[in-house]
Amino acid sequence: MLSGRCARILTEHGEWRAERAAQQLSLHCSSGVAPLAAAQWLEGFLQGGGTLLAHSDTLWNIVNGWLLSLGPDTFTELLPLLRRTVSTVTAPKRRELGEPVAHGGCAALGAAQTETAVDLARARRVLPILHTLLAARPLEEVSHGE
Amino acid sequence: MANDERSAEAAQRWRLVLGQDATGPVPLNVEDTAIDGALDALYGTPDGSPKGGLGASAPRVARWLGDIREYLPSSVVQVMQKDALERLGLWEMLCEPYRAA
Repeated sequence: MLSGRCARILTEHGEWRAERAAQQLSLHCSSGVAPLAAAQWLEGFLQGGGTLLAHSDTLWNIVNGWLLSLGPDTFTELLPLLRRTVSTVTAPKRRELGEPVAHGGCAALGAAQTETAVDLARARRVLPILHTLLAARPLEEVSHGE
Repeated sequence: MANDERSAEAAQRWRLVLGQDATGPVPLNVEDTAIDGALDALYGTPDGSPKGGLGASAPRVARWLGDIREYLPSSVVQVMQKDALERLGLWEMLCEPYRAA
C-alpha cells in the first residue's frame, strides 16, 4: 500500500514519467502477484485521488486487464477492499473511471488484446531460421507434423 | 463473440467496483446485486439518495449482516463489520438500543 502511494506521489510530482508509472502498475497488478497484495498496492495508488488512472488509458487498461484476470472467487473476495478504496475517490472522478464502461470502451480493449495474440502464420515464418540456428530436426518433419 | 462476453464481464466488474452512479446501469445477477447493495450501504456516498445507507435502522442492519454473511467469505465479513462500526456509528446505535426501536 505504501509502495502504491509512493508511486502515485512520484508520478504526480513529475518525478516519474507516465511510462514508469504504467510499468510499476503492471508489475504490481499482474497475475503473478498475490491478488490481495495487488489490491493493497492499488489502494495506495488510488486512495483519495484517481486522477492519474482516469486520465490515462494505458493505466486504466492495465487495471482493467488485472480485474479480468482474477478468478470469480478472488474477485468477490477483493471486491469490498476495492470498493472501499474507490469510495475515497470523489463522485465525478468515479464517473470518469467508469466512462469507458458506460461507452462500451471495454470492447475496444478486447479488440486490442486479440491483436496481441500469437499470429500463427507469422510465427511459422520464423521456424525455418530457428531450425537452421538450432540444427534441429529437418523442416519437412515438422510441417508433416502440423 | 468471445469479445462481447469479455467486455460484458469487464463492465460487470467495473460496475461492482465503482458503483452504480459511476458506470450507469449494468445488468447484474441476483448474487451480485445483493453484494452490490451491501457494499453500497457501507461504502456508497451518503448524498441522501432514496436508497440510503444503513443509517441507524435496526432492520436494515440485520438484513445487511445477513447479506454479507451469505455472499462473502468470513475474512472479508470481519473487515466490513469493523468498517461499519467505525464509519456509520453503528457502535453508538448498539449502545442505545431503545433509540432505534
